[in-house]
Amino acid sequence: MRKLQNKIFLLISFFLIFLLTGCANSEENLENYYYVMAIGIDKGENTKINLSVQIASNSSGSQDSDSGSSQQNSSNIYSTPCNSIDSGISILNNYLSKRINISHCSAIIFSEELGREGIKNYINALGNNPEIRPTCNIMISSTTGLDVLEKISNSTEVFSSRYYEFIKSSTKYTGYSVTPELSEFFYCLNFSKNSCFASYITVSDEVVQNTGIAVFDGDKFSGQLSVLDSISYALITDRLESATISIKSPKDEDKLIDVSIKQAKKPEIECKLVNNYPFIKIKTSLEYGILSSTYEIDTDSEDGNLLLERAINSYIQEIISNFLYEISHKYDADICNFKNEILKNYLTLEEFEKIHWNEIYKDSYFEVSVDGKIENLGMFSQE
Amino acid sequence: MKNKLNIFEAISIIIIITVAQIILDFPEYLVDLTGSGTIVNILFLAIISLIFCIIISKIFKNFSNHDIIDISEIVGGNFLKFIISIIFIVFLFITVVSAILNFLYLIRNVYFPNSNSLFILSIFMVAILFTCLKGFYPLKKSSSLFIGIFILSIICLFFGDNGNFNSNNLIPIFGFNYKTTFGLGFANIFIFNFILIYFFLMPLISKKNDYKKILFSSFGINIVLLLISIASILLYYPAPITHSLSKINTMSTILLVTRRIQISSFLSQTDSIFVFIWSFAILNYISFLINGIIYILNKLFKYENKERLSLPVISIILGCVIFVSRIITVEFLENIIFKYYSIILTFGISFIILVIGYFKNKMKGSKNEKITK
Repeated sequence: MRKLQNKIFLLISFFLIFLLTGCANSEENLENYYYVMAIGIDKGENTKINLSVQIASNSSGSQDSDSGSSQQNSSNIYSTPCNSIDSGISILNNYLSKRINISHCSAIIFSEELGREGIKNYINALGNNPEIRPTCNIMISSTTGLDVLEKISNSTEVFSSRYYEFIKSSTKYTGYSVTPELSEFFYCLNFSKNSCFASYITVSDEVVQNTGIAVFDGDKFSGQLSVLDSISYALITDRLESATISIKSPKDEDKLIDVSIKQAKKPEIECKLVNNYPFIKIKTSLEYGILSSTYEIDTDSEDGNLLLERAINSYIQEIISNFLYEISHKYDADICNFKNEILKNYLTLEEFEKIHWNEIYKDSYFEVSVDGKIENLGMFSQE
Repeated sequence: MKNKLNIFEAISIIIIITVAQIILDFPEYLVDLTGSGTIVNILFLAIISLIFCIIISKIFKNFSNHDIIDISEIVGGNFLKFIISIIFIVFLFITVVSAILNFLYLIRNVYFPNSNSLFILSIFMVAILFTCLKGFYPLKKSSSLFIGIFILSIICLFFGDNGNFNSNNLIPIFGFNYKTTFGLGFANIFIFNFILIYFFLMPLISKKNDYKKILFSSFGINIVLLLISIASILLYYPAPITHSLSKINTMSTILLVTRRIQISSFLSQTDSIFVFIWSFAILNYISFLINGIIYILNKLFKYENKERLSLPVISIILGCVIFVSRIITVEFLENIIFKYYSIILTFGISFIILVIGYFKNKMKGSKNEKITK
């Protein structure tokens, strides 16, 4: 009896090998899918949205304006008017020869116009989609999502998906923008409503570039922060590897000095309530490298070095202060998550809620101190 | 002797219960209730549970070849034995059905979004049927073989996404408020339902002296694994948890944590690797629960060949799974029925019977002493 049982077991196991490897189901083959690299979501004319997808392609071809698709060397772009992302994907699946798969999507680009109306529904739909990566980037375009996809598709980069990766990685060494991921945006929207942000993309002529941070009020796009604000954000949140800024020469205001900045230590942030208003103290330690100097300052001497150091420190202090007052007083957006810092002073959420953080945050005042040292004078200290 | 457990096998089986419950997203229920205070809450409940475990280990010294079913017979005769057996069987049935449904939902999300549930289900049920037909032996061997990988997978949840973790999410350390963390949060004690095995362990182990070692080492490892999984969930979010996670997530939170783990840009979307490893843990867990049902049924009715019970038991379970099948029912089964049932069974019924059994045994012993005098 036991021998018979073993034989049956082996026989079933043998057949299961073929069944479980998907040999029986040809629908799951890789060739049957179109892999989406990026999604553009714009405001529709007669429908709620206009969904565009950029699909990886190996074939080269010509533009086909009648079908609403433009085909390039590395990618095709398809667009459809629809009322939701899922219905849009269904419509695209209906007229495309292969099924759309968004598991390799690197970026989701919303138009500024749609952003101002609120994007919670779309983010929630994407956040709960098991196919999409939680590390996918959220971007706001100054024009339309479709425009960004087309510009990137026309770029010289062979693999457009790499372009999105470059946008993401370049922020580390430029500090020009932020790289909020889908999961981060999704949970910010649901847990701390005034801390959502995305990267802001400006489209001009044939160029697409990161130009700062898109700030949200709840799920609605409320404004754009500049590149300097973005560097300040990266400095406060310890996300900066290096950045380059230009400061006015302390001896001749018409001349500029290029300085590379690096974080020497993690910034120290102290949050407390003073007269029921948040008082936030930030101390950041930096390292500077002088990329270009002027004849007016003798950087080799101690006095000259100190003078330049002070000038850079006060400039960075000013841009950080401006950034902090802009996000708190103008936008009421806690994108640096100071809420988490002040929470350290409370043992329970109930105690914390008594201070009504969301109401008092916009009246915060800040004290920024920058302790920077010139570590590198470059190859030639004077030009 | 073939079916008796050595110290390592026994610990492995007990750990697999907690590992499986972590995979089935039980930590989300804990975090839902107590938010960032879950770590303190679990430590507090661990102390209470540890006291229970100490008492259990002391009492079981006097019942070296008995489990809770035998003790219930000592306490209230065949009638109580029958009642207690039925209570345990119903509990195990609920646990198995909800575990299968939960796992089915998880695996459909990751691997087979377009496949028929019944087809996926039948593949797993065939595997479980063969395990059960072979008795307890393959279960204990596979548990001890894979336990290292299972533990490693849970540790990976914590360290895999280390760069993205926001340590501020562990505060406020006492969660929503003290009342929730130490009062209402007491319901989280259900996660210590693995203690139920300690009531059955004594006759199953080969060396009775190892009972204490098995109990305390498995308890310690389970607590560490639980704390790691809870910390992974709390640290995963960009902001402190202020309200229910289940209201915004339609996917398992543990699965979401695995989706973020990536080794450079080379290996991303690692969730399918985790689910593949975890499917073995779940199969072990389900097989163990079904073996538990068969074990109790056998105690009750004394069958000649208890392995033959596997087919009818699995058929009934399959029927229940097909009948229930809705994910909302699974949440109800796990978050309400299983939760309170396991608390009552572990810290109420089983413990009371054990204590009564102990005193009855003691009284009987002193009576015998008097008679001999």
